[in-house]
Amino acid sequence: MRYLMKKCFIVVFMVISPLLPGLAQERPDQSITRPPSTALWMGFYGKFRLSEKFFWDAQFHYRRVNDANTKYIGRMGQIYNRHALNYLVNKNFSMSLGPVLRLNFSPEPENPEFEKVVLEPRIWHEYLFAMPFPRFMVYHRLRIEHRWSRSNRVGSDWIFRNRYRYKFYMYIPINNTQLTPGTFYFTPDIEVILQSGKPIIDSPLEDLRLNPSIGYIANPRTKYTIGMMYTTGQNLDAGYNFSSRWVLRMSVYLSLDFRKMEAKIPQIRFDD
Amino acid sequence: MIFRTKILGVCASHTLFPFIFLFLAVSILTQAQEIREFNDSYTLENDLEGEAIYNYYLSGSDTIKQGGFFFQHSETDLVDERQTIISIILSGQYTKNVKNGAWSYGYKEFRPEGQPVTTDSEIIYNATGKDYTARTFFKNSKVHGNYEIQERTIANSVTTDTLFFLKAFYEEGVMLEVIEGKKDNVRVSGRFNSQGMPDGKWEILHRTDSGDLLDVREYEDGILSSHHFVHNNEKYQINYVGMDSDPETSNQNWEEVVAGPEYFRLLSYASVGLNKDENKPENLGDPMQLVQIGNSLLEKVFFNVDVHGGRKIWELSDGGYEMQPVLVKLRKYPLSEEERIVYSEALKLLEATQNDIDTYLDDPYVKIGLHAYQDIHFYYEVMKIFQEKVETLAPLVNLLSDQATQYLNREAIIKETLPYINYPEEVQFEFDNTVITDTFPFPQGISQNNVTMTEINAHLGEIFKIVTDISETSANILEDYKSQSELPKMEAELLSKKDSIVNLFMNKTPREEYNTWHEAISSSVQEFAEQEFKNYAALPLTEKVTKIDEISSCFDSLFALYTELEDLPRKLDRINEVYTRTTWNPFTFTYMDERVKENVYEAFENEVFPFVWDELSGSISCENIGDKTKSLEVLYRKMIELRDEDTKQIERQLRRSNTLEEILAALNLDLH
Repeated sequence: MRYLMKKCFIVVFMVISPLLPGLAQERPDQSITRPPSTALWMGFYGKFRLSEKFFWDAQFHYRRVNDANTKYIGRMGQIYNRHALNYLVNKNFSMSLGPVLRLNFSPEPENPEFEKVVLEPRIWHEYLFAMPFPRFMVYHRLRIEHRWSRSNRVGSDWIFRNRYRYKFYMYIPINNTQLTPGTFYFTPDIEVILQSGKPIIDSPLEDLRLNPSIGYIANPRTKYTIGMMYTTGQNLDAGYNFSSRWVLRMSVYLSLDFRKMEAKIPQIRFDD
Repeated sequence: MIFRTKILGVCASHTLFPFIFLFLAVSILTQAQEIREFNDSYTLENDLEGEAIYNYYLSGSDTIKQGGFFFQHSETDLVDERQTIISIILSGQYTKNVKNGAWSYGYKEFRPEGQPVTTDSEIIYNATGKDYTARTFFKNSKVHGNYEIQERTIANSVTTDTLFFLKAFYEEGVMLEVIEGKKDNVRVSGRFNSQGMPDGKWEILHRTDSGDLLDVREYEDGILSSHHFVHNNEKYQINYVGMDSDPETSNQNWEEVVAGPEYFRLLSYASVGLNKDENKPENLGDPMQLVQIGNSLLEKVFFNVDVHGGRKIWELSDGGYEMQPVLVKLRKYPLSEEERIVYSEALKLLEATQNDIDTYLDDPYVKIGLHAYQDIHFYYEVMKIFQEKVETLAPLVNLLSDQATQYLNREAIIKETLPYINYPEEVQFEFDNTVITDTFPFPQGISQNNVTMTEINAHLGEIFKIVTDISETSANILEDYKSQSELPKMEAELLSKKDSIVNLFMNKTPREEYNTWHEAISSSVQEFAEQEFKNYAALPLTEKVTKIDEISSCFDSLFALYTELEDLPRKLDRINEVYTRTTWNPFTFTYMDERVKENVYEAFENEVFPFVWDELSGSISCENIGDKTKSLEVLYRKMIELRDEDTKQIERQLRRSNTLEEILAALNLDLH
């Protein structure tokens, strides 16, 4: 697995290297990969239909990270509040635009040099392409985030960065041929997160996430997923430093239709 | 120059001018009346085609026949299944389109017989068949002179029998003097007075195996005054009733009438036979029959001498002819208007009654039913009695409605002709090997004394009413029996239905509508239909009648089941569809189906429908097939209704239901 990750990283790095003119001058001969940390991400993903074309995208994430004593759930990591207005262009493409407010909890909760919670607002917009196949679905997600953040260290400055995220994922039914209620499905998921901005000197690759998961569709409104995600990426301060994580992710996806009853009559379907 | 001047001088003279004019006129007329000969195809009376040769001249645009005329028609036809040559030859003389001189008409129906004989240029056969020849003379289109008719049978060109022969004489179109005639074994001879009326003794000689019998009819200037038979020198008087034979009785009411069919009908009405106190001639059968033979011969002689094969022979060619029929004298008894009405009503009643009786007695259901129903047999016997009585009355009623009756004394003829109508007190018949005697309220009989036609009409009316009542009563009784009689036809239909059902459910003739539901019960339905038919076939006849409609209806229910099952896949799909909600999932970008009112649908899918289907397929019977088929429809409608209703309460009940009965109760389903 690690070998594979390295290969991927090398490929991605070669692609983006021309964009990195001022690579750190005092850098070691080889990259440093830190021991992986662990985390637990619990996410609630909501998409509430407001009209024929518009959805309210409402996400809430509760993330814990390991501490010295406890893996995965040792301390609070972040709380996410991500919202957007989602526009369904057609059955294969949607766009979203909205705000995010992330609460970053102190990495050293007992250390007074760190603030307990630091806010991180973002603006994000997303372009999601869906490609239907007879037995599975393929998705390409482009998400761009404009984020204002600062370290939990007391007195740290705000920095502004842009994130460029591309995610490829699939829904492959396991016990069915279609993604219908009662179906378990497998999701191969890989996402590359690049970043730019003045503070970004030698760490354009913020994260590479491999997030295979198993999902279950309880009903047309609710599905669940669980998966173990491995991520690796450059540290903002030193690009040669690569951090990595194992993240246990558990998510609930809820979609409700807030339209009036008469507007819920399904469209005539010519496919699936 | 001198010669020229002389000629002009003569022509110019007044003496010569009329001669020159006459010469020119005669020359023109001679040119106009130039006799020409026609020798070509010719059609007589627009339908008899043949060849004709005749002379004629043209007068303006008209063809005027002048001189000889000859026409021959010839054809080959099958007579008695043998090829026969039929020829008609008409020949005579015309003067300016008017028949004048000798004329003859010949009809030959010959077939070749024996070996042919050849001459220089012909093949000749002997002929076998019959021929008819009529010869006479015309004077200015009136028959004038001898008139001869001969009809023979010929075998091998030799006359074997003379079927009819007549030798008469006409003057200016009127038959006069003496005639001689023969038809088969009957000879006739007589004479006419100067007006062409039979006069004096007319003798008709019947030659029979039992000896000769002479039918002698005495005419006095057209009036039949006496009629008797002579046999073995014995005289037997023929009596006439209602027809006056005495010219002295009244000079006022005698009329000259044509001796045609009406006259001879009158003779047969009035001639009542021999005197009652005379013994009839031995071995001569019914003398009245001989009278009729004589009448028939006289009718031919008096009225039909110019007719052969339904054609008036002298009318076949142009020019017409005049030939006065023989006249006789009859005393007239004028008919009053009241009499005409009464006689007409009597005839209508008679015909209607006869028709009803004949219809009844000829009705095959009656004929068969009289062996099954005592009442029908009884009525049948009653009808036969009425038939006999009505037939007895018929000659009188027919006679009185004949035009000829105006020359009859009706009072006398009614009294003479009216039979005594008497009805039995009891009707006896045999039914089921038992002699049964029963009474029937017959109308009162008619005695011959002083009965009027009005009373006869009333009697006929009574009979008609009774006959109508019997017909109606019998029809009601026979209703069931008719059903039995129609049984074979109904059974054929039943068999056809059974075969169709088996064919449908076994899909022997593949149909698009055939589906798995049909297939699932095909064996059961086949077995059931076959068994039902077998059970029916084994029933006694009387039970079959009452059962066949039921079985037929049962089979119709199977057709209805087939139709219902044709639609079952659609209905199941429809239920599935309406109990499915389709939702767009924005995470997967797919539509997702979701069962709605899941408890209701599951109750339907897992419990109720399997129950209905098992009930239907597991125990097919005539008693329940209709209801079971209906249950499918009832269940479908219930499911569609429930989709739109608030079913929270029902679903709660369903969740608590453990048995089918509880489920059916929760769904409020009555499936019989």
